[in-house]
Amino acid sequence: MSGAVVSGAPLVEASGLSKWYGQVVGLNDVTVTVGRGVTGLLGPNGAGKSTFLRLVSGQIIPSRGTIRVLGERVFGNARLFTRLGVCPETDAFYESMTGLDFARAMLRLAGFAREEADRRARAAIARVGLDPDLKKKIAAYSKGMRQRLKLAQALAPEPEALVLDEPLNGLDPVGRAAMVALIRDCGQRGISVLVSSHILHEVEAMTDQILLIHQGKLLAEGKIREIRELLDRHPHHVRVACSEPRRLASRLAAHADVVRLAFEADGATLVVETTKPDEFYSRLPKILRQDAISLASLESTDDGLEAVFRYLVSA
Amino acid sequence: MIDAAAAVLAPPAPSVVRPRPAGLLRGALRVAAFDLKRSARSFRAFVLLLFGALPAVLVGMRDVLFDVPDEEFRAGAVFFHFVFFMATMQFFLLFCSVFLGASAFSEEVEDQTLVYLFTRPLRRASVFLGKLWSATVLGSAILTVTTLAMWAMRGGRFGAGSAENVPATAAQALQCCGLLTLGCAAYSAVFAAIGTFLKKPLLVGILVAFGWEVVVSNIPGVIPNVTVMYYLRSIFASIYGRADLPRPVVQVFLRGPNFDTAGDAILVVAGVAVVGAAIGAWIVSHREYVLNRAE
Repeated sequence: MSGAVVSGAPLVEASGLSKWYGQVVGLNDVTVTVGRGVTGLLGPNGAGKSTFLRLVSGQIIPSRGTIRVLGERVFGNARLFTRLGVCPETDAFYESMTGLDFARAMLRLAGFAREEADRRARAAIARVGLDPDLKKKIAAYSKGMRQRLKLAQALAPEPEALVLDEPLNGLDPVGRAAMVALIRDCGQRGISVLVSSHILHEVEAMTDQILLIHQGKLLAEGKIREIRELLDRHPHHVRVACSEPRRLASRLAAHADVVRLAFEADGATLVVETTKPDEFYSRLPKILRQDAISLASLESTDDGLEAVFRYLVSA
Repeated sequence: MIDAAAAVLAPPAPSVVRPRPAGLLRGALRVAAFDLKRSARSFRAFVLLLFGALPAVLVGMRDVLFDVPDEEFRAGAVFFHFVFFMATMQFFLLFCSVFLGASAFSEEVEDQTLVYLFTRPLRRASVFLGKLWSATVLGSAILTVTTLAMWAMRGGRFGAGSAENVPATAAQALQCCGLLTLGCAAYSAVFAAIGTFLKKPLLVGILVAFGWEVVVSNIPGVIPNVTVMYYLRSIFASIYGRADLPRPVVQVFLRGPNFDTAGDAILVVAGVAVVGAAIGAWIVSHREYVLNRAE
């Protein structure tokens, strides 16, 4: 394909894409076409999501294979970045700048005139809900504020497509909900988004289109409900440490989705296997409250996605 | 499954007027303006300015600190030449250039902020050149301010002998500033280029600056010709003329009988600046920077 801008081209076209860091394989022979709309890139930590997104955003060079984004070559292509916004994973900033200065400076670097850059920076900052803190130094921002600022700088030029690397990391539940709504809104406005996460529920709230990546390989691509069906066939493990584990076990045993209950050696920790984690998580607080059981800790030993990955790998 | 065919048919994004990508020099100017605004207010610039003020203090306190016969340092202007040559040109120029030049590009890699510059519609070479220009402008500004302060402390006010000599000494001081700017451009380009491929460019820069440039430039014979300092000394010698220079300077540092002419020396130093910048820009254009390999 030539270097000309291809209107309506898929967001990403990768063919035989591999990336090695010395002896370490970051991405292994990935061939995929990601269409327009919002697409979730899902995989556990270390799966190769960030490597894939760095290749998509032209930060690194493929060791083998080809990649085109919006129909254009990627590495060293300045023109692509008039159409593509990137929200990197790294939590790095020019710390002494204020949020507004940073967003404005990024727009000035992109070639926007001073007044236009100011207008767009303020609008983008307001859109991510940072406007009360726009004149604060970035060094004083919380992790959540920094994530939102990264998104603001990517959104401000109104790009045709966005690449977001773990944008929900470090956000509190309220911030996550707001960020998810924002990403969905971008999709509705016609901006194509490729967003990575290692948490299925988060991606599910944004889109039903996903790519599953594991150990550098693309395992599956498709609708999230297909993954959901796989999840339902693979029980989700939860460790619950509480004041009365035996009473809790007896209450949980009455539910059909709980397929196995076991006690750990300390006698205070119950391991539950459920085929419907969402129902389990909504039911658990009610039981604890009704039976006045105090919860010491709640931990998912296996977030379900891992089970799906194991299933897909073994298949 | 994600349907690529359907994706191609998806409605295009709303039409938005976006600036065109910048050309090489325009992009570099944007980066330089952005960077200069930050770095001029940085702690590093403040420390360099303070450090650079030391020779000016030295010049200003000549009578207090040094018991020298007037026939040796005939006037304050000559003492200015001496301190300029010994402290500013031989040391502070290198010090300033190595700290600003070596970190010009490498700090973006180290701080992992490079991703923001590389995902703007800018050429990668523009990012390097912009950072380099910013370092050169800041370094030159610090060197110029401290040199003019030094001249004002002694060379201009007290040392010109009479009022009619002030314009002449001022012109010489300005030529010295030009020499420092040229030297700063060359050294910054070399150190910034080193910073594009080494993880600890400051250490290597210090070795080059104070090992190679200072030591090698003082070896008798033709070996100093391969240092930038040799050419800067040639320019310095032509600004003042041998006869006007303090004897210790002539004896110790300007003993080479065949200094280049100022024109040739300026060309060589400018050439080093251009070649260093070109090499750095080429490396940045072709090299990937893995900022944080989390996976």
